Amino acid sequence: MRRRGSVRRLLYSLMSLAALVMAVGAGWKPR
Amino acid sequence: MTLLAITLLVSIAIGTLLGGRVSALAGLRLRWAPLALVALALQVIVPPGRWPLVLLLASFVLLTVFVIANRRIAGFWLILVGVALNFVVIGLDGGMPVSRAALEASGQASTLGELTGPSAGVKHHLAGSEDTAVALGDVIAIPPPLGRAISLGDIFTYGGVAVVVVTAMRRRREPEPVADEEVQRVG
Repeated sequence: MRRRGSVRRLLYSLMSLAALVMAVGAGWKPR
Repeated sequence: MTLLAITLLVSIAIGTLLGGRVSALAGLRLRWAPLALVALALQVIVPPGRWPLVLLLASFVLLTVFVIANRRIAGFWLILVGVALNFVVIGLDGGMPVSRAALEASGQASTLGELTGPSAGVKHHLAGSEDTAVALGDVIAIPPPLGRAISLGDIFTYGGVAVVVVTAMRRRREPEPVADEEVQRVG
C-alpha cells in the first residue's frame, strides 16, 4: 500500500516536470 | 517529447551513478503542481481571434508562479531563468520566433509551411524582420535524429530539470523521528 503511494507520488512529480518543460517550450518540432 | 525523455533518462542515469535512488524522486514535493498542468492545457486550447496569444501569456504567468513557489528546490532557479527568457521573447514578439537557419540545420526545412501557413499556431512563427528578440528565440539547432530548434531559455529549463532530478535522487531518506522518551533519556 505504502509502495503504491510512493509510485503514485513519483509519477506525479515526473508528470508535473514534463508538463512544465512542454509548456515552457520544448523547442520547435511539428507534432 | 524525445528531448524531454532523453533529459529525464540521462538525469536518472547521472543520479544513479552519483549514488542516488529513483525511488527518492517520490520524495520530491512540488508545490502547486497542478499549475504546470493547467498552464500546458491553456496552450492546447485554440480559440479564435487573439485569444490564443492571451492564453499563451496567461500560461506563462502560471508557469512563473509555479516555479517561484518551488524556488527552494535545487534547480528551480535555473528553470526560472528559462521561463523568464522565453516569456520575454513571447511577450515581445507575440510568440517564439524560429530562425530559418535553425530549421534547416535541424533537418526541418520541410516544416517551413507549418510556421507560416494558416495552420501555424501562436506559440511558434518563422522569424522575420519585425521580431526584436530573435537571438533568444528558437535559433539553436539540434541536428537529426532529434531534429529540433530550441532557445536559450529551453536550455536553462532542461538543465534545471536535470538538476532537480539528480538532486532529488541523491537526497537522503528522512531520519525516523526519535521518540520523546528516548530524547529525554539522552538529554
